Amino acid sequence: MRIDWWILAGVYVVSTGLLFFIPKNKVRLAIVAFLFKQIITFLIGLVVVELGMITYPVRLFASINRTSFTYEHYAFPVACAIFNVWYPYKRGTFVQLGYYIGFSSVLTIAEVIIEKYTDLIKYIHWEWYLSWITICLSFFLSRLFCVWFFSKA
Amino acid sequence: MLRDQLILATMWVFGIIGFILFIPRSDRRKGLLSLLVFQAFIWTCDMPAFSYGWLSAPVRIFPKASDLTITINYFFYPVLFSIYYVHKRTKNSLWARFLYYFVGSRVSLYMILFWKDTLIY
Repeated sequence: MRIDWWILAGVYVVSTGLLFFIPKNKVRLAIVAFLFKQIITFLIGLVVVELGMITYPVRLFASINRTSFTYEHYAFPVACAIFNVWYPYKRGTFVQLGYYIGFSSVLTIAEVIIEKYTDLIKYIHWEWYLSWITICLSFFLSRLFCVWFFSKA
Repeated sequence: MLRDQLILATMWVFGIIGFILFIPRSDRRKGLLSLLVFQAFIWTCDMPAFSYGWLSAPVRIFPKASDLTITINYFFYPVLFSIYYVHKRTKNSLWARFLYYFVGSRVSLYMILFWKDTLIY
């Protein structure tokens, strides 16, 4: 139980640390990606908990919210900001595809390890590949949104 | 109970229609960004308010997943704010701006009075 809270604190520290790797000229892109991702993860997070697919036994604001505030409001949006800021848009299709696969896989592997060894997240009617697909899809949506947002009107 | 749920449904319908009707196509980006920003801020205010029991939302969507009022904070207020933000005139005099804020806050005041009669808030 105690280690779970340390991991949670560690997630905040690492996520905040990652923000410093965002170049100054891409701060706007990072903010838009962060905010857009928040709105997706927040809604989908509520749906999966409501349907009883996932539970988060150890979490912040436990008395009022059964979803993971840390992951959905902060860690995942930060990952999305980093994803969009370093997106290799000048490279070929395979590199871009690999970028999606790499990011989604790292996040899914981290989630599976956390699921297995801690009480931060527990799958009930959920599988790792569902995580992978939804993570990948949400990255794709955020990318689409950012491209549209910063395109010349 | 049914009336409260109807009010929530009305908020979603009016919110979507309002966003499409009152935000011009050319201001869509501005409208969406203001909605996202407002949405991100309102949770930081509401999380403590709900945690300490100052607010509660007996009738809500996703009742198993959250005690928070998702319809209002996630959708309805952000839409209202985006409409306000897109139409705000910064070049007006201080008094006009003050009046605009005043009317805006009045809207939420009337809403609070209205909530008092329901179980939404």
